[in-house]
Amino acid sequence: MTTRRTFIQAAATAVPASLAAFRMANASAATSLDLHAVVIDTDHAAARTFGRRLGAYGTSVLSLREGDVTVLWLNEIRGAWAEKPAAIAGLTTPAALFCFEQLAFSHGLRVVFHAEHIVLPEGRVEHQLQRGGSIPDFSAEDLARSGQRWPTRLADAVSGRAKPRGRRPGPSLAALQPAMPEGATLLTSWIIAPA
Amino acid sequence: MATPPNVSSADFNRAIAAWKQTVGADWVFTAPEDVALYRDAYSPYWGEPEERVASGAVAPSTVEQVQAVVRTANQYKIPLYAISTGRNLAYGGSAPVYSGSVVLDLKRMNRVLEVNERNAYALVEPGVNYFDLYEHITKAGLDVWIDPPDPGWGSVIGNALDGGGGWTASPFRDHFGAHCGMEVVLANGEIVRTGMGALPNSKSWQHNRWGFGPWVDGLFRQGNYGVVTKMGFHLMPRPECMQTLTVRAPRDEDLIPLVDTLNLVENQHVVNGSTSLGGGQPGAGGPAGPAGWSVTMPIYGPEKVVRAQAEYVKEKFAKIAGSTFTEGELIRTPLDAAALARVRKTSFGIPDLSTFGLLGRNAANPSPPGGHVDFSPILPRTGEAVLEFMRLYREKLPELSENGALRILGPVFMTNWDRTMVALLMFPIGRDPQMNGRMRNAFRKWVELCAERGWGEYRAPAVFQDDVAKVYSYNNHALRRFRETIKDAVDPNGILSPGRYGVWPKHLRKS
Amino acid sequence: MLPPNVSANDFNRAIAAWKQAVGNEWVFTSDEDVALYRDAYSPYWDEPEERKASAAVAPNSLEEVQAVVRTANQYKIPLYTISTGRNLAYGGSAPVYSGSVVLDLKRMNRVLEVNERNAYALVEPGVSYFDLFDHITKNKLDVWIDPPDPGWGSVIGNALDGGGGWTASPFRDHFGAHCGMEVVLANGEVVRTGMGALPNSKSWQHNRWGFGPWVDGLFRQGNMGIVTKMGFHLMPRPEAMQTATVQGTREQDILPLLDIMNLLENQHVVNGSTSLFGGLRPPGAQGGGALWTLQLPIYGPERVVRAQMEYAQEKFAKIPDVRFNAGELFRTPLDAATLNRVRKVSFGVPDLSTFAMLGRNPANPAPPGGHIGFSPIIPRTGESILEYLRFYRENLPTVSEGGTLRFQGPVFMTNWDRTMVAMIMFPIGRDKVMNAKMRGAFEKWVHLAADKGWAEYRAPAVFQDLCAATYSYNNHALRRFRETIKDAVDPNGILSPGRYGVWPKRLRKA
Repeated sequence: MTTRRTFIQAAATAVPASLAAFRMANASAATSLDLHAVVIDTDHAAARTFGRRLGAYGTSVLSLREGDVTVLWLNEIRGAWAEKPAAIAGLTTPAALFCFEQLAFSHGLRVVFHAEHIVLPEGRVEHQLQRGGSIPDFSAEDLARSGQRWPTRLADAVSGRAKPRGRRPGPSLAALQPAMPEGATLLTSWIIAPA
Repeated sequence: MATPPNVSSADFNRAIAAWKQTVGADWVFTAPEDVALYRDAYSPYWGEPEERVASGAVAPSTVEQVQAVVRTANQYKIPLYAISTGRNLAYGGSAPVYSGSVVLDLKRMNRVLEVNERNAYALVEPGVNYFDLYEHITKAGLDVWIDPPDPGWGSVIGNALDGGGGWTASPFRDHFGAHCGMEVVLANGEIVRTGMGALPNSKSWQHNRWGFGPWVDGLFRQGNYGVVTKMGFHLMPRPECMQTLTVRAPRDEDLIPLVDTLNLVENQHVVNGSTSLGGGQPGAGGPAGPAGWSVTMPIYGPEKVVRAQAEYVKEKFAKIAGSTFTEGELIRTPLDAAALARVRKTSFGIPDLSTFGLLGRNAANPSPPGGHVDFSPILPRTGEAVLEFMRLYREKLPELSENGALRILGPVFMTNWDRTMVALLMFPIGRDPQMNGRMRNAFRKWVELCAERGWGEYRAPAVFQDDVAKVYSYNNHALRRFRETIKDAVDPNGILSPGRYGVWPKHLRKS
Repeated sequence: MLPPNVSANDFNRAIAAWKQAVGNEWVFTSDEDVALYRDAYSPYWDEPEERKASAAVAPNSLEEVQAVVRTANQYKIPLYTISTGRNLAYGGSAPVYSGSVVLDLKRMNRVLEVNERNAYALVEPGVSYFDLFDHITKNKLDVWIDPPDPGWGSVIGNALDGGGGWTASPFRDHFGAHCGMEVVLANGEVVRTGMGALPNSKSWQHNRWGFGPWVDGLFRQGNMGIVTKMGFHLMPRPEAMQTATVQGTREQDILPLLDIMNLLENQHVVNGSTSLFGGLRPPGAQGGGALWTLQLPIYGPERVVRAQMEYAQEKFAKIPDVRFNAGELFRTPLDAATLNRVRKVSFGVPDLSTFAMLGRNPANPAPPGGHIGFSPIIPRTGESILEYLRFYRENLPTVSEGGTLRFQGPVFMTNWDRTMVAMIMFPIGRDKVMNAKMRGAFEKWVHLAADKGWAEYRAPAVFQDLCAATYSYNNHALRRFRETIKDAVDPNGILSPGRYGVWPKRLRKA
């Protein structure tokens, strides 16, 4: 039976040390987020790269296509969240984030990290951090400087992400699209975690 | 001249004068011989002091007249009782529930406003009876059917508002369920149009029934919140043919899979006709034979579809060991003269009065040709419930029929309304007050016995509506009290059909 | 934030009382908790007029609902009831009346009964289509549900908002398929409708009418009470499903095409959720190619479906040069491979794919992100379709400000029998200027459509007054009749004020 805590607010959970040696030097196992899985939309190369990098750190990689979360939700995430509020990260289209965020509310989870990556037709990518930017040495400019390696850089930042502190964030803006140039694709990276 | 309760002669006279102004002197009835026409021909209190009788009657011919009549009634606080054609036999006929009410007779408002073949609907006034509508459709050569009840002389609107049903295909058999859009005159004389009719210039009034916002139409079903002056109905495009299938099974236990299978094929809409359940009489299978049960299932549709559906139904029932399956004649429409002469017309959308004749009597329709009142509790739609009812009936019949002195007819198991099982009993009513009194007692006892088992009526004769309403008592009659709250708000003077289906205005409720 | 016209003292007392009733942890007052009840697709996102809750209360039982309501009545605090709060594109979980306290029924999520023999379900408001589907699957019951798209919403909530689905008639009209309700009134009393009013009745989910005036309709798109249980008729699993595709090449073909589609549907030869795509040729364009495409699914036993398909083909053959194609015949239950390639909701399987690109198709062009739906009912004739398309084409340049505003649609929806809904979707984003333009466009469309006798079957919360106002026959007589009832059954006007344009007396403009 759900309690209020899982309904809307989660307790702190102990994090087992499970991250591989490639972690960011200034992240410590005790304070970093324990990622249950990373969700990637396999139609996008950037997401596949992101997933491979986090997979190398030992995180489970879950795939979906074209923003349809149904199978992942029914077969993987729903069961995991029924047991405890497990953190998941993702690089997907916004639709998938929106769905998971909505589903997460009643399990005590919030979007603690949210960034948007507008892939322009010519290949250049514009990055914007919406929330959760308190990752050391990490910023939108940082991603921009990484050029085409941005998914890998992003994965590193996400894997070293500290547990969120402070006020619980409200809903993200996942539902509402930013203005986009013609022919651009919007990807979003995110972390849903207990908060 | 009788006056309505709590109305002075002076006020009544003023009202009468006002009504004569509104509708014309010819259409206000106060002479005893005229008002007598509004007696309930099947009244269980015939000739007794408690017989419900009108004090007068007014017959308007337009909506504006209805509004004016209602305003006058409101002004002088005179109870009205709206009837469409007043043919609600076995359920109260044309007499008011509240004795002394003035009957508001809408029979003159009898225009068929529209029958649209392409979108298969009709829009009618209250005085239109099933014969009228059928004639209109036939004359105009429209390829749609209506769904008449038996007999067919009643009002299309009136029957639907009383919760009546018919005999052709689902979903048209549930008359209220098949309606789409209404126009109503409220107690304050205002006109409301429901559904898409609330949108000026809408041409979808008879397309979509819901419209926008809370749906008020249901309040007028078996209700007294307003006077319905127009109503739309969805019609069925003429089906190409009809075929009736019959399955018989010998044992009482067979009834359970019989009803389960019936429910399955009906809920799948493979069988769409008005099914019936027969049997349960000892010896029905022969002098020393078992009781036996039968299910009769008409199917309407294109011929190749009906044949495929019949095959499917046969397969499903074959699972009941010992059952027999019979396919009736496949009858194509429109019916030729020969077919017309031998079929039950109502099953083909043709209104009829044969139910009053001996020839109209059959196992599915044993109504006495004379006066009677109908007792129609809803049972769960399972074989177990039917068997339970039969046991109760056999057990109690000797006592309640005074060992056969009261010739109660039935039970007939009716499945006209989808997913509903009604066990119909008929209580003959005559001219003998003593006999009628005993019938009334028996009726009331049946109401109680059935209520104890969670069975309540779907419809009731006027004089028994309070008895029946009382058993719907969940949470201290919360539903009735909710209805009363609404009644007091929309009809503060309590002038519209007080007491109909147990809903009384404040000033007439026992505190 | 305080509810309007409620003192801080009274609000605090109410909150304390609610905490007593449901437990401290189920009363939400902190900003971050209450923020979860914002409408994710609000057309006023982050603007002062965005409709927001002041707090939320989540009861777990009927008795708790009654206590919460009594407290609200005592302090005259407006509540706004939600089932699971997934009413996206129509207001989501946010109240119509800003400052209301959300009454969140999500915790009341029991599937009380699913009966296979009589094919019905009885559920609480927090039961989603996924939950009900799970229950049926686990218990191996051979019945289908009729999910909307997406399927994460509440079975009760969707029906009460007038929603529809995609399998067979009559199950697609969710409110129409209901049977029996339990309702908590503004005074805290519990009413059971239909056969539920008869103690010991086992027919509550058999016969919907019961005895006497039928009150259930008041709760459809209404605010006369809080529904805490609702029954639904279900469809026994159909053995097969097959969809016919019919195409016509001439503009005028839509007249006979739709007439025949209507005939087949009204005869119940075609029982699936039909769709209609097509449009006018751009002026000056050459002919050729399909202009209209109809899709007609049929569900039932295989041999019956085949017979119905043949009959349908015969009927359409009467129109010259129209192409008829009977698609693949699916046998149920579907195997895993088949399930993966079909549109799941058409087979009674709830799904979230509508949010996905793949979910996008001519029948479902809903933007994956925020949007609101403009859904007027037009008459169900080919003439009306043509009239609507011309109307749309004529007015689009102005309303879209020369194409600056990118609407999606129109899509013609026939989920509800004998009804034609022409839906346009307006993307809502983060740009306040753009959102304001979208709102302006929505309003323009409403007025233009009303002039033609077309108005909505359902509307987003912020536009409910606007849409309700178009139903103005006889000086808004229907609205005034509803107000009379509202004032009687909810004298303090605490239940979802403003829902579908029905305001309690104290909040109506004089």
